[in-house]
Amino acid sequence: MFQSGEATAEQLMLIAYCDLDELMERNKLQPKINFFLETYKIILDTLRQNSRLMELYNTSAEKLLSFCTKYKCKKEFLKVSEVLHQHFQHIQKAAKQPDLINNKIPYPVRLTDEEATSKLLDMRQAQLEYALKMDLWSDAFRTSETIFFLINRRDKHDIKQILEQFFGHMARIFWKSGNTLFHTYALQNLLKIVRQSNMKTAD
Amino acid sequence: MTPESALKTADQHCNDGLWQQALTTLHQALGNRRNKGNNAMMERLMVALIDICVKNNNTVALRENLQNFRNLFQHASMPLLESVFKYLIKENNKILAEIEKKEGSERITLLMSDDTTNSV
Repeated sequence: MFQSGEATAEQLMLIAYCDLDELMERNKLQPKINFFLETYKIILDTLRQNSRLMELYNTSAEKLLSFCTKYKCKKEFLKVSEVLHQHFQHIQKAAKQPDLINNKIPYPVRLTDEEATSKLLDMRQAQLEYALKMDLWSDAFRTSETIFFLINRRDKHDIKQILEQFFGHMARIFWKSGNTLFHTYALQNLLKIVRQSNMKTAD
Repeated sequence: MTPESALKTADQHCNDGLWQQALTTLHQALGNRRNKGNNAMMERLMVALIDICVKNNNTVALRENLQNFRNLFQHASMPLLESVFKYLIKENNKILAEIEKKEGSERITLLMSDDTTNSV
């Protein structure tokens, strides 16, 4: 690390009190992990408006979120989640000015396109599940708002399973936040959906 | 400079350890309007650039060139764009797989986890 005579007394004291091997190892490993994370963020930024390559976008986002969940890095998770929220906000903004994006981007993500909405919804459901696994409740709530927005744009008949999962997750979030009234309401909605589907099966 | 000679020059620069120059050569070849129609060659140039960026952990050049490449080919050839991004994802996953194999999951958790208290 230092040539003989180069280090000051303070630096020598610091080296003596910290684990030098650990420090050297960290210096080797950290750039590679940073590159791994940054590359996926670049992919997300580059593909955020392309409806044809949304599967690659979703794969990249899920890879990042699963990495953060596996290695318990909450700060990084929140950064990635913020990026995903921003990208969704851009899509919402673009939906308000359809003529503007139609001229510039060849295959934009449109909220009127059912396939695109379905893929957006899949991604956000995965994001919510990862946030719940990480116990990041406020971020989970934010994601659930996006999911609710997307659910309202889908046909009511083919979203029963999505609604079941959604109300299950909402019940958990409200329980954690101490909103017992909303928790009960979410469970009541869940019960209603389960009962309806059971009645249909019995018929 | 033709794309073939750009690839050769970049390769030579890499062998001499001058990877910044190699990146500049590839960047210029990718930006050359004469090469725009040659999809196969553009893919080779981009793959070579990704390889150099992955080897040297360079995200700045990667971001700039990927965005330029997207702007060029999102109108012309979506399959080409898809194959380049798939290649990048594959190479990126290899990095993590290698680290996990070499260092083990516990070591990465120790480095990345917010719960870990660092001595320095």
